[in-house]
Amino acid sequence: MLETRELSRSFGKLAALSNVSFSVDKGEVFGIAGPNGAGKSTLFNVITGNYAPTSGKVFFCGNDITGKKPYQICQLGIGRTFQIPTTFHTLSVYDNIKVGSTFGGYKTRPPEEILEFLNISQLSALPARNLDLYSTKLTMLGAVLATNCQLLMLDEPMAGFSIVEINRFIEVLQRINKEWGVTIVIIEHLLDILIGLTERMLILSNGSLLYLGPSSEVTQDRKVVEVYIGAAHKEEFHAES
Amino acid sequence: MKKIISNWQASFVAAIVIFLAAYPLLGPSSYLKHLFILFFIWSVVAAYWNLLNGYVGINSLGNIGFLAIGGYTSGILALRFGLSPLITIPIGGVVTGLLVTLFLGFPALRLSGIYIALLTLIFADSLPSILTQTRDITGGGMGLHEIPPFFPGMEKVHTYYICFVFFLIAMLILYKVIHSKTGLAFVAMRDSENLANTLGINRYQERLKVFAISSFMTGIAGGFYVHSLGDISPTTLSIEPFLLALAMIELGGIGTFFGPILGAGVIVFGNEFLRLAGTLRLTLLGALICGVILFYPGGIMQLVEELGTRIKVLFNRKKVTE
Repeated sequence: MLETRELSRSFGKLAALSNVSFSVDKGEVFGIAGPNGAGKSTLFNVITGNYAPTSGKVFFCGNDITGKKPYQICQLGIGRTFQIPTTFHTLSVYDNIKVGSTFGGYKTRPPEEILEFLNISQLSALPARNLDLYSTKLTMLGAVLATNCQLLMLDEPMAGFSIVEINRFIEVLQRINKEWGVTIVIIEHLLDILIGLTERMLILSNGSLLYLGPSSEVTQDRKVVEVYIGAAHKEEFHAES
Repeated sequence: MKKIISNWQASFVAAIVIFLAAYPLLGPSSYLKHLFILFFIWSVVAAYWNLLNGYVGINSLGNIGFLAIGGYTSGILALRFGLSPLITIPIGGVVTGLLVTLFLGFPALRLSGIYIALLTLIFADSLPSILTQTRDITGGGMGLHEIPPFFPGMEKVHTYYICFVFFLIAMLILYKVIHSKTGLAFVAMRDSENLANTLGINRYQERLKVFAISSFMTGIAGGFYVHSLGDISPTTLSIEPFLLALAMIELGGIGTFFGPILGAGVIVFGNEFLRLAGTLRLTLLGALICGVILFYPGGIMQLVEELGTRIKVLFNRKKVTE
């Protein structure tokens, strides 16, 4: 469904992303992890048209979408959320979602359906600036879902959540994936959550691909352990496991 | 969805409209009618300026320039070619719309924040020197005089009603725009351009649209301005009208529908009554603006909203005690 080929992006001399190739299948929940500054958000921004790639190509459903504008990418069926919780703060929750329904392209979902699906109908009339972190992120997610995206890209959606909120949010993601058949690509710092949620994942380090494969085997990978736990503790880690 | 006009506001607006419609029947002086005509025109200018600044968040400082282009175009066509203002005013609007969209709309697609403010300010500021160098057509520093009225031989009261109807139609159009799909896109772009783009809003298209709407309507207002007053000169583009128009928006409440209208009322009438204070006029006006911004950063509209909620609370209390 989504495929990148040798995708690179540099900022001056800094190679934020170099030669990243991977593909995501339809209906999959795919994870992306990596230390701070590894290029996870840059990868998202290049795919969704916020940045143009320095080289390489992005394909969606077999079509080349490299260099398209964010609004065009949205109308093609790729939705994304931001790491920084973003809403239209002067608009009500309903109107926030309505923006997605109105401009999201072909066959969008009505706000009522989204409110009900996310179970936030009671927040409908509240201005978005009055929401707490969890509701803000649900509203942002709702607005993106209203565009009727086939591929949903989430940039650290659970940062700052409590354990209870994390569990509730994971449930929501699983329902989006199962009930609506939406393919999900998710960036997440916490490996255990990602391992539980996804079948496959990739790990970025300094802009390059460090690991691409089944999520269940990620902790067995020597390079991943080195980056995540540090070379000094490698022996200790392997002795324990 | 939060309604912009709650019930008490709706009745208040209806009362004001009826008052404005019946006002000339009370036999006011020609001077007072003149003030109301100015109020109608400046309300439209301020309201469509607010569409750019308050609703979309494009910091335009050039809207007086839009007014001047519309006014001069319509005035020149009527004066030099003897065309009816009924034709020249729409032509003035179209010319303004085209020029502004071309010279400001397209460059503004690549600029943001303060740079748009600079560009639009330079645009408006370049007009006086163009005018003084085209004396044969525009009248130079002296401006245009004896511009024909809407109809030959009309009186002040007719001008009053023509401008009143224009004011109503312009506000109705603005209300429709703000509550349309386009209006939703405008506010979304103001709140977060990033998220707006991600949700499928075409930034370029919407930005061109708002420049086109705002400049077209302000150009039309310019036409009504010259045919009501009979003259226009580069002083229209001087610093005082510019600051007063900005003050209307700030004072009334930026980003609100009724704010610029209220602001225009306070500035147009306040400015005239303060003439009694002589040279202190602008100082007092400045103090008033500072005071409002200091205590009510949301402008008069914030005060109105607060009073509204207090009245509601009072009514509810009465009901409870009964």
